[in-house]
Amino acid sequence: MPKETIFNKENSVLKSAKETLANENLSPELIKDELEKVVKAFEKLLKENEKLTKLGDIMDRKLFAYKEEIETKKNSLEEAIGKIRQLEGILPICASCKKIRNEENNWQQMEVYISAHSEADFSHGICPDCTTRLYPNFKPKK
Amino acid sequence: MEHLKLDKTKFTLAIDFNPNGTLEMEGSSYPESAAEFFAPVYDWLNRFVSEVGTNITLNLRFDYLNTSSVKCVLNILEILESYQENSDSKIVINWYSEEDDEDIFETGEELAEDSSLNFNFISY
Repeated sequence: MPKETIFNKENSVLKSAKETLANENLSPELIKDELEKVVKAFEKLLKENEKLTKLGDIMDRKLFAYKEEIETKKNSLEEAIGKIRQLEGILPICASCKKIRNEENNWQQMEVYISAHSEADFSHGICPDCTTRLYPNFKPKK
Repeated sequence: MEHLKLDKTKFTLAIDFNPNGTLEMEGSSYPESAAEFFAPVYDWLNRFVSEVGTNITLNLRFDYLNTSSVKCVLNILEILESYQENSDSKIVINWYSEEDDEDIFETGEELAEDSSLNFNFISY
């Protein structure tokens, strides 16, 4: 069985032209007939080749966009992993004021340190225990 | 005539050719040999147009096609064009593209440009 190719039709035109050329009793009519078939096939092939080149370029562009998207995602993932890693391990913290010693040996408020090393932000409030301690006369509404 | 169903893989399209005339191709196509992958598709389609001969709706929902696969799609469209020229059957091509996928939309436009087939462009 002949091997399948995506150019089966074009190959059959070529095969027929070769067979005609090999014919010892080649008449002018036969040559003209075969030549017309070859020209028609060549024109179609040329047009198709132009289309395939154009479409190949479009698909290349799509592939490039995919690559860029993957690169961007990879970079943001690496950045996120970097931040997670910064929060791993043992953090030196002041036993009294709870400040954290950073990479430059400076002591930072815990909120400042964590915000700088993660995606977390802080919103301040007062817990019930501290409310009682700081504002003993404050009676929360029920 | 039998239903032609091929499951989608990482490299090949999902094919669902129903003898009622609804034909669907979906996914990405960059097989090792496009000729081998599409051979049963051509075979089915050629038998369909000569044996069944009804209206055809071809739904195409592509993500990516390598050049060999584009050539195979052109070959399929050529079979349908020839069928349209030689029969009274109506052929509709529904070309689907994601809303922000200009490349697939443009590919459809290019294919429709020189074709005598009726293309509908549907974004989703």
